[in-house]
Amino acid sequence: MQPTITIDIGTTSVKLCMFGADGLLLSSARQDTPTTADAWGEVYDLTSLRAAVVGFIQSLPPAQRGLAKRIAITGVGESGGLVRPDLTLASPMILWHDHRGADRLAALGPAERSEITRITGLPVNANYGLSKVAWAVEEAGAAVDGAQWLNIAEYLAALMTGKRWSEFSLASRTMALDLRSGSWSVAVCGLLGVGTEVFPELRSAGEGSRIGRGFAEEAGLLDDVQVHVAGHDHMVGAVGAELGRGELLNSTGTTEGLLFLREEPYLEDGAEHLKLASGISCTGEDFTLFASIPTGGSAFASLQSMLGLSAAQLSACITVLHERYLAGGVRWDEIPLVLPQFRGSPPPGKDAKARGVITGLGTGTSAEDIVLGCFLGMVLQFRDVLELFPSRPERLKVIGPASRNPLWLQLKADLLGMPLSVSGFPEVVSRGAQALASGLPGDWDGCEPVDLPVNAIRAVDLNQWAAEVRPRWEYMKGVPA
Amino acid sequence: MTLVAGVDSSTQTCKVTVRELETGALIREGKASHPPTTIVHPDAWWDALLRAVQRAGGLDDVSAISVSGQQHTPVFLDAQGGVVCDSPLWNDLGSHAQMVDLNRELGRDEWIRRTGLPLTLSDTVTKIRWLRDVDPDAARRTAAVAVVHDWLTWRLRGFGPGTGGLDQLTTDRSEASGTAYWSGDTGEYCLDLFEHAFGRLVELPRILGPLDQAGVTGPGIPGIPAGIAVGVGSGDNAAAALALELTAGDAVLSLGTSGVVYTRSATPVHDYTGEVCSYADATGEHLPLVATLNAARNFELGAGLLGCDYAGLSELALQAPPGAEGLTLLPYFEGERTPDLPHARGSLHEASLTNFTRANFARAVIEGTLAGQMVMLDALRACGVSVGRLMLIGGAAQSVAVQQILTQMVDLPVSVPGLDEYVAKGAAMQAASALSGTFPRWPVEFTFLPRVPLEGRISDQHRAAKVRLGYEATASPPA
Repeated sequence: MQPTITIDIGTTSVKLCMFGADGLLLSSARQDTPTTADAWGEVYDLTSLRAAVVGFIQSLPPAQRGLAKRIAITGVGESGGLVRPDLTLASPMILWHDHRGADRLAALGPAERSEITRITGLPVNANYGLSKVAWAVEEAGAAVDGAQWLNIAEYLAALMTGKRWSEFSLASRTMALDLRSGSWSVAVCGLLGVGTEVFPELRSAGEGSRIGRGFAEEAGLLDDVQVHVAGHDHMVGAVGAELGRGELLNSTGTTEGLLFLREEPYLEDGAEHLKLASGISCTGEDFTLFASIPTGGSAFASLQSMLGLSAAQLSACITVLHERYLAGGVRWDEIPLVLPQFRGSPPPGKDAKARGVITGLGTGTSAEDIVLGCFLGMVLQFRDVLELFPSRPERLKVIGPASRNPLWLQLKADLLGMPLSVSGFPEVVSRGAQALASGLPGDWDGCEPVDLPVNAIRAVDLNQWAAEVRPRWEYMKGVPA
Repeated sequence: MTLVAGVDSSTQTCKVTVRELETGALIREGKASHPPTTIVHPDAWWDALLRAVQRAGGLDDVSAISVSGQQHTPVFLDAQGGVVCDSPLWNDLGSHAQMVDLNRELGRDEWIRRTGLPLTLSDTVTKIRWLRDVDPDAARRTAAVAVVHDWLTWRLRGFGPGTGGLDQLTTDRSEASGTAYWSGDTGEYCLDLFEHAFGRLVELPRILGPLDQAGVTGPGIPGIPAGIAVGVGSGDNAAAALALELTAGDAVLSLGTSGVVYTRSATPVHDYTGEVCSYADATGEHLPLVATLNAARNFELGAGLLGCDYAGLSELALQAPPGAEGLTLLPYFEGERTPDLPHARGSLHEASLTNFTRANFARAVIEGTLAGQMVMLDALRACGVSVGRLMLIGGAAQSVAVQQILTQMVDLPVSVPGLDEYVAKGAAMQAASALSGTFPRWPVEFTFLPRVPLEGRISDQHRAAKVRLGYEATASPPA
């Protein structure tokens, strides 16, 4: 592989890595994703983001920095902003969960919504880029001046190369891409009054551009480095995990993703109501079928903060709960039922206004009970979303922070009745980015996966509990936001 | 200096206070814990009373004593005066099925018409039906049914196991009114209701008037001299109302183990919506009352989850804005009596990544608890009882957060009486009346809380959460 600097711009943190030619991680750093607020919502602090990237590269030992042949950038989908040819901004760089363009979608009728889903493979939602594009174009007016919509990862690549382009998996999250033709949809863009010229040329992740001399000099890199937009973080993770058709990738982080690769896009009748998201993979060779659960690891961060637990205390709590679970010591009737919709609901509701509910609190309820309830709620939610997909996975691969959480993993395996293959390497997305920038396939074995079997005895207890609480669970899910 | 003693045999503890007859000044006191369970052998209450007397330094210098106690909770006695079996407390949920049965058999409205009580699982009549159902042998051996204060009063007078003397059992109007076999309209027992519930009649305590004397203390009781006057006694809320000199237009919000809102009325009420219980007071009038099972214990749970103490909970709550940014708690941790949800549990609503903070959770615990009490205040008003002033009492009344948040939720002047054991004080006033034939006028110091703008969103959120869980039919506010 090519020695590669990877940049993964997540919801809460930016992960920066330097990988050697043998795929080994040589250096890494992580910092909070820099954001700020404008009059409408939350946007990226681009000055700080650029400084963080340049600072990381400059901080690499010269011997490592000199090795670098590739820069591969991944990011959350659905974020973006309007960027002019001279790379100045015609709009703020908007975060994925910002809904400032939502009213552009409110006017769409059922037929128009169905058409959008049929063409783009996405349920109509203000998370996706198109409504933000329409908002940004209108706000910019004449100042658009040739600006094009770039995702945050694409913008960073443009800063480094002076070129603007869009990668297929990120383009798939704009709700403006015709999946079958692999081109921007005139019809869909027209529904929101946007011309396709506002979107840049399309490339697969393997097609990079040479770094600009100015950026290379500033960062201390050689000028033969190729810059790649590796793609949407979950999709890049699929490359890192060497995901095959029939396998499910469970990527965990601030949000939790479920991803299948398919030969054909999933655009059957009825698919619209499931609100699963179809797209094109980073390699351009597969179609993706994806669902995002908005509240993933962030649920535990909130819980930790609310209960006043340090990271070490939460970790100890998880260890105790895991041991208790394995020993059959959980008193199931005392565990609160947690619907962890702390940032909206997953498909098929996909309601950004949905909020979390905890029921079953008694005078004996402890902080540990609530932590366990939260994990159980997470796996129930995962089960529900998985049930929306048209097929059961032959294998389930887990990447991200959950791979270091034995309780979460065991509960998931036992509830699903399915063993898990769990990455032992923490930065699978970055490994996938290196592979894509090197034009090579991913390597799951290189992620040192561990097989987690189903605990047959505990699975019976867990599924009995899940069956007992299901009516209450369904009721809680059905309550309008 | 003449001294009198007031006893408060509450759910959790027994408190004995010794006061000066002339001024009501507290001279000394003693406390002893009751078992934490909801089914208890009555001997535990008698033993706790004796321990509390001992911890109060004994009562050798006291001239009169009177007992107030937890309402409703029955003591089953055999013909010789022995305790037949353990007693289910008023807050024991085991009698829910019996409550359902009794309401079905006679009709919910009939109980309200006859007794002024929307029958709940707390009322004595459901407990006697419970005994008949679950332990028929114990029911067969039962020759008398008294409530806790009746039985303790009787014990103080020298009666007990083996003495017989069931016909010497006494009670007062307030305790009789919590049995659901007494009529506030006639002032008499409804013996047919007792017989319907239990299958036969047994000896019931004689109902004394407000200024009557129950008798004198018997010999040989450790720490209590023989021959001193024993006052009529009362239920706990009636005793507190007496001590607070409750007048028409006053309402009391008591945040203790249970949450209680009551006021004073010259006539009994009949609330066919099923929320207000028409009890009698200790002065000869009436005490319309609404109660929840969950109140101050909510704060204990909230503080426990947050890993802080009461003061920390209060401090955190004051850091959050009204409405806790939408985070809403329905605090039915032990099921609930008002509304009638015995199998419900607590629930937290509208949690998001941004509002799920320690401060908001602390505030949601207090707002949720108080919102339940505000609903009860509305219920009292709906019965035509006017309320012009609210007094806040109970263990949680001293919390700054409780005081501040309450003023944001209620459109009434709110006052907080100075720290005192008002139930025990009311009992001591009854002891005093047993000596003098009239109630003493003992001063109460009030702190008046500043009026602030109402924060309607708190009650709105609470109501919406109840609608979401199907506890309330619509989101529209009560008329």
